[in-house]
Amino acid sequence: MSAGQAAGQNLSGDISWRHQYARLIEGREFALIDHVMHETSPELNSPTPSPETDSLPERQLFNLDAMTDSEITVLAEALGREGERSCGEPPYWGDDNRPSLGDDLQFALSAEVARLTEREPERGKALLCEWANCDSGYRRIAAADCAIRIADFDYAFAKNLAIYIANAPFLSGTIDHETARDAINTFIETADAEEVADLEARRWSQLPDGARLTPHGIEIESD
Amino acid sequence: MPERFTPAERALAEELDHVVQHMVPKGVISTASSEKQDITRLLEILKEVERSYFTNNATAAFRLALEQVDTDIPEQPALYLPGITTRSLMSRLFNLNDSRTYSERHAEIRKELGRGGGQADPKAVQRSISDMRCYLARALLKLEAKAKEGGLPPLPEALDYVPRPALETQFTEAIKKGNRIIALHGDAGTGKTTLARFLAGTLFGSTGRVPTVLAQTEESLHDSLGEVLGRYGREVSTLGWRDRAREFRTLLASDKGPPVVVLDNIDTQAQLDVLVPATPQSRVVVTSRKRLKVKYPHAAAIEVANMEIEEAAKMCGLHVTGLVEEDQHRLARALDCRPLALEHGSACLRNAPYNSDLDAFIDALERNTAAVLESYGDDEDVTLVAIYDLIIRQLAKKPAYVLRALDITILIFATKSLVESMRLVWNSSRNGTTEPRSGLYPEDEALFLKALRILEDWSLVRPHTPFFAMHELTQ
Repeated sequence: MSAGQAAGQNLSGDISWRHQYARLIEGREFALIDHVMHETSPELNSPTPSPETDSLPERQLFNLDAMTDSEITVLAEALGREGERSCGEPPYWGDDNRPSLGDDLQFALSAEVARLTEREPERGKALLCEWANCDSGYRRIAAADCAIRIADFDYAFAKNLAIYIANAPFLSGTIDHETARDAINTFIETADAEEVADLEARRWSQLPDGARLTPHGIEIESD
Repeated sequence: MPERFTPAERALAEELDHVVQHMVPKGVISTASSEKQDITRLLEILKEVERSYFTNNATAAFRLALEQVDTDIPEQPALYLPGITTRSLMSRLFNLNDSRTYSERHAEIRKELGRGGGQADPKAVQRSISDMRCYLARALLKLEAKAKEGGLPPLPEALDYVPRPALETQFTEAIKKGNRIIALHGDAGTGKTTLARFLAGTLFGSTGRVPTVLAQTEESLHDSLGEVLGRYGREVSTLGWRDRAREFRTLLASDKGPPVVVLDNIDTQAQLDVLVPATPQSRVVVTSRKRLKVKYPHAAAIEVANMEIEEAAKMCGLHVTGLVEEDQHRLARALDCRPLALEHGSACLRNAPYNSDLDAFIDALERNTAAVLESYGDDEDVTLVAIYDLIIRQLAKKPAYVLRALDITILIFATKSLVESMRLVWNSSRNGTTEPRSGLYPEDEALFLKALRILEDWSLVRPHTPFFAMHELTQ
């Protein structure tokens, strides 16, 4: 049985839509992606690939280039809520160690936002700063998740992003601080001694009054 | 769905994260101004739960609180981490006996359980740790409420108390003789307060915490008197500390008062007279650095000195895990068997730069005891070095010859000769002459002896047998 046939059976209802998404995120099942896209969206069966698809460096789950910042923000918020809601539910891909569905999608979105930031630093950083400075825990968590990936190409910004969220004003009922400290832990694993000391010192510190994250660093608002 | 926590529980959980980062495994909670806003709530709880013990050892008070709430932390698997219980997560993250920093433990848990170890979803780890903190916060808030109602069981066995049989026997004998007031006096850091609380606890039975009055400052006196009087149905919220003291004195004279109270850190006989009637119905255990001249009919005094070596070694074993018996004895001797130095020194040993390297630590202690112990803690230390420093600053307000006499006693430790020390310090500062003189001017000797009496009163020297007994940390 081919992958496409197997996927066809899945679509018939043997395996839920969650399974398909999980495999999409893994990035291993492109045959399945094609099948899902074509079966579920007949309009995509056009023999001529769209220019938009061709222009992407690689095919991804979320096409952020086609979305406004507001749409990306709504998506991040929704996936964050779903991640929290579904955390602890029975595994959806027969694997106890997989993240929850919402978290899996959140990770995928974070990866996309990081790529966007690499392609368009101005837009990506502005979006992440908006998330970090807002009072939504879900957006802050999404921003903190991005920090780990952004560190690969803009460590200074990623570090400020994680430190800012780790010490941002407390919001009840969110794990944004925990997520940001997790990102800092990841930085520490590969940092030299001096950098480790700096990260350790700033991981549990206090932001000065009026501190805001900007694309250039943590700055104090004049008013 | 995950269990929901109240905003108060979540706020305290967040605070715990900050506090523990700054206090574990340090010997004291950091109360530096930059951290104060973080730790307000937790400190309030710790004070409520174990007020007097908190004053002397905040970390131990926190450890005590953790032990008390342990059974309130769920034993079932953490919500998102099959196989890991919330309680085991708490004991790993908040283990105050672990010499690693909080950050290191946090990172280890994340690595072991999370994506780094290929075990579980990192978000599940993050949420489980967050949930665990909320459970801990909930339990601490419950504990605080219970403490306010006076419903906590007695705590002596949970205080890391190291038995001191000789002193306990003296206390028991004094009680058997019908004494109502027992004064424990001794130098700073000899464990008077811990001993008083333990001994009072044995008399108090299991009906609740021992009422304790803290006489260190007017503020602490005011607050602790209010707390004790409140427990015994007296409305004193509008009264100042003097009126509260009068009420307290009346309470102790009545048969409605507590069976036993602790008066901690009484400074003068006059202060004691204000608080305690001549024939109290309650038993009163007093601690003081000074040898109070207790003139009451049923009063006894017990001197509390440094620990015996076996007691001190046991205490070292409690504070530094993994020490063999011989090393416990070495550490105890190096820290002069003085309880506060043992506790603080053990915390220094556990932390950087010594990192439990006993040889390096003892080597440094031998070179400069005060510098080693002073290098740890913060501006609001209650360590021995800090206590001595405070005393010296207070002595500086007295006539100059008092501190000069102290200088001489310090020099004696180096020269072992009183005459030589006095020639070096006392005469050289007199009349502008630098010429040493073989003998003392009689008036100098009179002043010197007066200064020694003052220093003796402050428990800094004991000019008896041997002639000078002074703690090395004063050097």
